[in-house]
Amino acid sequence: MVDCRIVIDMDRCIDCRACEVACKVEHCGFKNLKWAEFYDAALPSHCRHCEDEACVQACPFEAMIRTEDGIVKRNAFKCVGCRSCAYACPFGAIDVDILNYVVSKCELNSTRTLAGKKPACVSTCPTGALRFEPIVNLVEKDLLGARTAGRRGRRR
Amino acid sequence: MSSVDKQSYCPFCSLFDPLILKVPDPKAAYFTRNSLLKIDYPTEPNYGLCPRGNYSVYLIDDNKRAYSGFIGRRPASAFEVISYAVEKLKDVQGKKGAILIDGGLSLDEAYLIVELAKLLKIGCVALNPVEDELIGRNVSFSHFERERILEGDFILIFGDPFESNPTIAKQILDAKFKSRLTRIIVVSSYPSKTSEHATGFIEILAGSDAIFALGLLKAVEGESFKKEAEICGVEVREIGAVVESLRNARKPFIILSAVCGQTFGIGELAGLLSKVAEKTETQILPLTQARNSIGISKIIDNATLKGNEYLRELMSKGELDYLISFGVNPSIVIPQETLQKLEFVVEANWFIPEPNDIKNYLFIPIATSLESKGIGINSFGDIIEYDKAINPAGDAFPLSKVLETIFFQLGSSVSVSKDMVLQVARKPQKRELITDVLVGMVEKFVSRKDGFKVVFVPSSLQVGDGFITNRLSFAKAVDCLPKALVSSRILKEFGYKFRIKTRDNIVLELEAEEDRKLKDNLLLLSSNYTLYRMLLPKLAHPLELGPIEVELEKVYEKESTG
Repeated sequence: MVDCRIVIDMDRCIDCRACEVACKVEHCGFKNLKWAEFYDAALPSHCRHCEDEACVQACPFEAMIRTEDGIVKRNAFKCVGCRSCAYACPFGAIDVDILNYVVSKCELNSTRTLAGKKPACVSTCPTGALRFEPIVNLVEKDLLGARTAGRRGRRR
Repeated sequence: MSSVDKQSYCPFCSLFDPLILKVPDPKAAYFTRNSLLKIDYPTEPNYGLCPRGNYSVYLIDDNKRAYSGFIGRRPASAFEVISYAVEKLKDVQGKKGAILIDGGLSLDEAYLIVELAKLLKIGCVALNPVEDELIGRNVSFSHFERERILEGDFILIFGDPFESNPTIAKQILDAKFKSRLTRIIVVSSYPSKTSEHATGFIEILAGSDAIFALGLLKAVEGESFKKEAEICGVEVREIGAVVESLRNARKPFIILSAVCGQTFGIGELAGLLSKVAEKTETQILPLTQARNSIGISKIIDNATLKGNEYLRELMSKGELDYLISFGVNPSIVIPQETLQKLEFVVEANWFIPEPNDIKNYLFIPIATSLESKGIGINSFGDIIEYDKAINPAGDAFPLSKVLETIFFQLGSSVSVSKDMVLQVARKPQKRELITDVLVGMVEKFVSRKDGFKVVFVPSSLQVGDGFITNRLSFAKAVDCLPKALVSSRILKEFGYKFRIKTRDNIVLELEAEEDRKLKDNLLLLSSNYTLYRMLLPKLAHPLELGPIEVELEKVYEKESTG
C-alpha cells in the first residue's frame, strides 16, 4: 500500500523541469507528468489519487481503476483517449496525448514506490521542492490537495 | 532481469553531482537502444539531477552514438583510423594545426592531449566551450565544502545558476530559508529564475557585468567607481552597499554562473571577482558548463599553449592546415567553409559527426565519461576520481587508450600519474586583465540605447548545444523549444513572428513570447549554444563574446506560410 503522496513547495520550485525529464526517462519516453502554467510560473501537476475519484467514475470504458495499493491507474489496453477523465479531474492533472490517442497520468511511479523508493520526479528534484510525504503528515499540515503558499523574491 | 547499481558522476556541469547507473548485466559488452539501462539517484537528500543530468544515460544509449570509425565516408575500425591519422600526423611538419578539446574530458586525458600537442609542435589547444576557457584561465578558487553555502549570510550571484546549474539551487535556497537575515543578491541584465528567488536584484544594462565587478574592485580598493556605476546603469550607492555587505558578512559567497552571450569579457569578470573575493575574504564559486573546464584550462595555460583566440587568428588569416578534435564536434565551433579547406580533420567523439562534405574526415569513436575512468576537479575544488560504470559501446575505446596508441605509433610514450595531473591542474594563474579595452567597448555598446539587443540566456536543457546533437528532438518532446522572450514594446511593434538581422547580415526567423518584466529593447534567446554560434560566426576577440545588437523586421503571415 502506497500511503504517501507527492506535494510541491512553491517556494523551492525553480521551474527547471527536471521532474518532467526524469518522468519521461523513467517511463521509457512516455511522460506521465503534466505541467500547469500560472502566469510566469510553470509547476508540475501531480495526480492526488483522490479518495472519491472523479476520473474512475467518469471513465466509460473502465480503463481508470484504483488498485489494491491505493493508486489510481490507467489500463492502457482499455483506454481509447476519450478524455472523460481529463475533463472530470478537478485538479487538471490528467494529460491527453493526442498523438498516441491515449491519456497519461501519474501513477506514483509504482515500480519504485512499491520497492520502498521515492518516485523519480521527487528523487531528481534539485531543490527539494517535490516531497513524497505520508498522507497522515499531509492531513496534519493541511497540505493535501494544496500547495504550500508561494512567495517570490521581490524585484527592485 | 536483475540489474547492478554502479556509482558514477553526472557528465555535464562542474558541480559533478553523483548519480547511479542501473546496469542490467555488468558483463554485457555494450548496449544498443536498451531501455533497461536507467539512471537512478543517490539517497543523500542534498543531491538531485537537473534535466541534463537525467539525460546523461542517452550519452550511452542514443541513436546517434558512434559504434565504429570512419575514414572519409568509409566505415573503418578504430585502430585502422588511428593508424591512418598517425600517418597523416607524421607528415605535418611546417604546417599549422590546432587541437580542440572538450571541457568534459578528464584531467588525465587533457594532460595527455597537451603532451601530444607538444610532441607534434602544435601551439594551439582550444577549449570548448570558449567561455569556460576564459573563466578557467582567470578565476582563482580554493577548496571549500558544498554544505558551507548553507552558512552563507550574504550570497552575491552573477548570472543565472538556477537555470544553468540548477543543482546548486538547493544549497542557496536552504541558506535563504535558514535565516531571515540571509541576503541573496543577483546581478543580472534581466529578471531571471535566480532573481525571482533572491532577496534582492540589481538590474544592470545588458553586457555590463564585468564593469560592475570592476566597480566592486575599485570600491574595495577605495577608488572612485562613479564611471563604472554609470556604465552599468546603477546608482553609486548600490555598488557601495554590495561591498559593505561583503565586508560585514560573517560568511559571504560570490557565485559566478556565466554562460555565453550574457556579458562582454567573461574572463575579465571571473578575474575581477576573484580579486574582489581575495580582498574581502569571500569564497568564490565558479560554475562552468563543462565539468572539468577549470582544471583543463589551467593544464593548457601552464603548458604555455595558446587557446581559442589564437585559433580564430589562424582561421581568419587562412593559416590553419589541419585540426584534431577530442570530444568536440568541430562543425559547431568552426565555420563549414573553413573546415572544408583543411587538409584533414581528426575527430574523436561519442556521436556520429554531422553530415557534411569534408573528404579528409577521420573519425575515431571513443567511450563516454560514464564508460571510462578518470580524474576531475569540481567547482568546490574537490578531487573526484571516477571509475567506468559500464564497458564502452561497439568499437569505442576510452580516449586515454586512443592517445596512448597514438603516442606508441608516433614512436613515443608518456606516463601520467594523478599527482602530475593535479599539480598542473591546480596551479594558480596570474594573468593580466584587459579592463581598459573592455570599459571602452561596453560603454560604446550600452550607450546605443535605441538598438535592439539580444542576450543569450542559459537553458537547463541546453537545447541544441551540439554536445548531443539530437537533444533538440528530446526538447520538443517535453515542450522546451527555444523561444525568444521579448518586451511588450517589441511584441506590439513586430508581432509574434519576426526576423533578426545581425551586423554580419545573418538573418534568423524567430517566434516571440512576451515577458513584461523585460526592458524595452531587450530580447532573450534561450537554447544558447547553436543560436549563439549561428549569430556570431566570426569572433575577432574573446572579449566580444557577449550580447549582440540586431535589427528587427516583421514577418507577415502570408510570407511565412508561402
